[in-house]
Amino acid sequence: MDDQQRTLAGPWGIIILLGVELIIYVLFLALLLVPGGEILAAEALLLVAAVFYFRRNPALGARIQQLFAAHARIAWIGAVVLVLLIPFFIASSPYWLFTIIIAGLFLTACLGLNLQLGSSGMVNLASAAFYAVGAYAAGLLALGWGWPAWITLPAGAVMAGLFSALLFVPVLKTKGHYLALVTIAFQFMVTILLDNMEWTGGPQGLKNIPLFSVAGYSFNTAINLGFIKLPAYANFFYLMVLVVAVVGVASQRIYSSWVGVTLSTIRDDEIAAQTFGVQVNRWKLVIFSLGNCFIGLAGAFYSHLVGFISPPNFAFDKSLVMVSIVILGGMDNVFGVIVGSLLLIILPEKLRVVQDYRFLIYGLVLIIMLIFRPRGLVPFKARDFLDLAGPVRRKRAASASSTVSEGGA
Amino acid sequence: MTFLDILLQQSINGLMLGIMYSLVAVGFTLYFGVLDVINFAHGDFFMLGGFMALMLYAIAEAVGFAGNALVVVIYLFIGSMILTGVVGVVTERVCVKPVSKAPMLISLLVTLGLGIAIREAVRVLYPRGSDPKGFPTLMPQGSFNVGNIVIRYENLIIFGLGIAVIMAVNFLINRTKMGAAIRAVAQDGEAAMMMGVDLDRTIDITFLIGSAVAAVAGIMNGFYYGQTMFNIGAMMGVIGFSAAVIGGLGNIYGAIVGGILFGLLETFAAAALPYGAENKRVFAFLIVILFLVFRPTGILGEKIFERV
Amino acid sequence: MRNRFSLLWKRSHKGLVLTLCLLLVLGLVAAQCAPGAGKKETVKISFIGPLTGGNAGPGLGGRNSFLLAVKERNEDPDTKYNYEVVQIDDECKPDVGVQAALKASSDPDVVAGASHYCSMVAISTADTFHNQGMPSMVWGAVLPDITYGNDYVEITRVNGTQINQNEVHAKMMYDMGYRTVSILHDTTDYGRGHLKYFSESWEALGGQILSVQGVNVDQQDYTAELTKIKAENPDFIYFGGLTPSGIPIRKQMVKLGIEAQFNGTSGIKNESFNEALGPDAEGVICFLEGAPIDELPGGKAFLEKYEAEGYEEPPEAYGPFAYVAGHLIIDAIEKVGPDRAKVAEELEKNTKDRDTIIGKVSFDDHGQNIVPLITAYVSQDGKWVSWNKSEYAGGQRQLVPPK
Repeated sequence: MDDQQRTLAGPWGIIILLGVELIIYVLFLALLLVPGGEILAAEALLLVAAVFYFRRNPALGARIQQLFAAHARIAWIGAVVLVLLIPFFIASSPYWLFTIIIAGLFLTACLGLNLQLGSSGMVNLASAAFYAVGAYAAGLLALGWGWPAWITLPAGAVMAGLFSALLFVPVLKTKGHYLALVTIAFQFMVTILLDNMEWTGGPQGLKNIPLFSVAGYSFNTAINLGFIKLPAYANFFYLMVLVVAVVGVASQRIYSSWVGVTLSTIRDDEIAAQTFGVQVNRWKLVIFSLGNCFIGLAGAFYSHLVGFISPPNFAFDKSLVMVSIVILGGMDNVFGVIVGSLLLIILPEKLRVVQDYRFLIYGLVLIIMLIFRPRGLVPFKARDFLDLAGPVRRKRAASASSTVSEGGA
Repeated sequence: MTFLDILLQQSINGLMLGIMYSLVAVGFTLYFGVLDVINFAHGDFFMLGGFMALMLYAIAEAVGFAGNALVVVIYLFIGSMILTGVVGVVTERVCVKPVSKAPMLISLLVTLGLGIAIREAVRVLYPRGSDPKGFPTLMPQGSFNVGNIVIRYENLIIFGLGIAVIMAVNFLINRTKMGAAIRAVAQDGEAAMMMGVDLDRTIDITFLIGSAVAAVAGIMNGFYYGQTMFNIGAMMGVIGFSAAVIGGLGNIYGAIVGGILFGLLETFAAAALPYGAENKRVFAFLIVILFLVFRPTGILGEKIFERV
Repeated sequence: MRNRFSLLWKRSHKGLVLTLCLLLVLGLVAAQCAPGAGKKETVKISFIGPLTGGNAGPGLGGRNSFLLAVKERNEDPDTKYNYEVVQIDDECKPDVGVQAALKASSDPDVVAGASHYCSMVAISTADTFHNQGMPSMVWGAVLPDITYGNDYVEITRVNGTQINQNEVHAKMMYDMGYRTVSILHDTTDYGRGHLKYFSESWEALGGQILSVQGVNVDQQDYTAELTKIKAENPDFIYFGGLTPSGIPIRKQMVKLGIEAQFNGTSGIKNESFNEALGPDAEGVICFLEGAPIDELPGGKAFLEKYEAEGYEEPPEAYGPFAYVAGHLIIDAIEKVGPDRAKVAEELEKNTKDRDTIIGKVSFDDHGQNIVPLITAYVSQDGKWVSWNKSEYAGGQRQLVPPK
């Protein structure tokens, strides 16, 4: 056992780890860059084969996990470098770059939704409505008062947070199916009103919203590096990565702090939580608003990315996509949300090859995945409550022996 | 037309719309009572029922069986109820039951996926499925006037039939042995099983009834509006669910009350409020939210205490 | 070290890793192998429209017509290039449309394309096509701003706008003695656009608008709105919207016993309107840009060829426009070669007085077809017949007269 762990800690471990990351990366890029549906079929088969393989050899999976835990920092650096290199590899296809940015926006929104849905068990099927609030707030502020994008972005988030107050009473008084219905009804009200109100531009929405620019540098300019020319979307891509990083780190911090534990207790048993002195109502409202802030942030970003927003962008089907991402990825799990948003945004685009049958297949895939993995592709693990002591315990453990600490990413 | 005429005519409009909603709401109430599942695909079963009838009608025309309108109507209703019912049971076995024990959101999402699949399957498989489809005119088309108000025989038949179907479902649930089994499962599945109720069979029957009622609603909707389209189910599902909740989830008569209330709300909002036509659903959904917050058990629902 | 490493590298795992690498190589090789081209150089052109969802009917009709145009040209030995169509679904949703436009324009082999049936989508992708420098010819969307809201050389439009249609509509009804109208429109920008341009034209003539009611596209019951209209007793009802709402509105109007003329816009001019309504469609009027298709020699040939191809869906109202767009795009590529900038220039500047199956086509400096030919149609015996040839114009049949 000791031998093994030392192997994992050594340079071979690092090489294997980077190899694993690289393979996933290449498969991902191949999925985007190889035209046609064969690659999708091939990779889907590969994925199924891999799942079965790991199920039959759980030791291998466990060891890879240990590997990542042992070299958490290197794993992160590797992953970040690879992500930052994406625009270079798909420079020839602004379309895929744009699609990845959209996936990133959904990821941002779904991290917020995950706080509500996954962490504290509040059903929210109106996420597209709050996405709309963020987008329209940013658009109206930019068009009406000429606010620059770096202010409207947080303003959109704050606005979505404030609008949450409209649902405060229902959130506290209803739950489960009833809360689901309240949020569905709210979602429909918002979309219909957006269509009918004059000051939001009615069905034509808002046009010519200024795209991002910082200190005179317009994000709509292609990056010419001499040896390679990156499409203009590369600017947005890096900004998106930054936003996702901030929101992702915030989510992870919340999850592993005592706030996260509080939320878990509310989700698992509200009455018990209350009897133990958890301020259920207060935390519900805080998290509901915070989640909507993240969603609004993504909406504001969308405004300044495309420059045009209109009501159909924020219809009920978008809420469903967001909920599907959280559930399919795995609730209460940041990594799961990442997997979910990549899958559910990129899969329909890849399915364009089957044309008419696209949504039929999408629906069937959704059902099949949920039946076989009802807890999501990356199911959340029971909390290791001892880990809550966090840094102290970890440091103690590290100094006591050179064994691998758990936790990490 | 005088004010009173308009009021009465609009009430009739609202009642007719309401009975359509009620028929969809019954299914939601049934599924929720028995399986604790909100079947979001129910609206699409409603649509499927209409298309099954269209298909059966095309077959009947092709083989030259188109005599007495009454016979054809009965054939359409029974045929479509059986076909839609079978599809309902099959989908329940394949995809609803496996997740009925999972968290509520999972079953919700599975049924939503199922709804997409049904909708798209109809669109792709039915000839020119993306176009609106006209429904054959088989109901008597005459009408009589009471003052300035037009009352159509068709409306009377559809309204009467709608109430009759809901009462029949109520009879099945509350007066038969099979219904007793369903109610037992609704209260406590495991206890019912210990008392000798065949759980799987009961769930099958529930879905058979639910889908068949959806089919009836779909056909009546087709006859009343003279057309159907592959995408009418989604909105109908949301409204049907709302109506079931307003009336009181789990109470069959609640579905009637909720459906008709929702229909009247929409109609009078469209008729009476400024900019009412375009915003009537905003108004109706606002009422739904208020109901859920201040009387979550609905009009006819019973007070539920949370078990600790 | 080697020994320990082998813990992870058992023989059985070797198989997995090797398969993985093999598949990877295969995928990359497959990517490199372009489909075997014939003698001619292959040029890609795109078609974007709603191929799924509620507007798939007209979308598929347009696609088939476009494919037909391309097929004709590929079979013609005189064409310099071999054309390949990239067809992309926009679902009639703006955000999906932007992705579709990016997908088409990201492929450097795609030289130009015909795009969009839905106005909302067309207006949101104008910037995208402009930024990517790809010429896009709108084949069905009618909102004026799509061409007039910008100065992009890339955007052209072969069909007319809502303005032309409603001017003719208002004038025709006014001249026949109709004075009062109740307006229904759907709340999309298609319906609201029609409301705006019709009201302007109608009030300019001195006509009276009794009421305006917006309806949702996913609604089936219009009895509340129609009962209100019944009490107003208008000369005619104007509906700005699409077939899925047009059918139930007309049906319920008949059932409620409203005695008034019913007029629609280009959105209801398709076969399903007549098929679904049967006898109830009789006497309904609608308007469409372009010459009546079956009265021009080229148009007849188009309908026959379309029939012969055995497409499942009918061409619908805007199929001929997509067909013409296909021909115009290919003409331009044949003339200036497969170069996006040149093709855009050629399309916008040099499309003048072209004879097509929809009549003459001439683009103004916004790339908008300005031949203001609008045809009125009336539903007669389950078919859309152009007004001038109908028995209604001839006096054998009567519309519902003004009060």
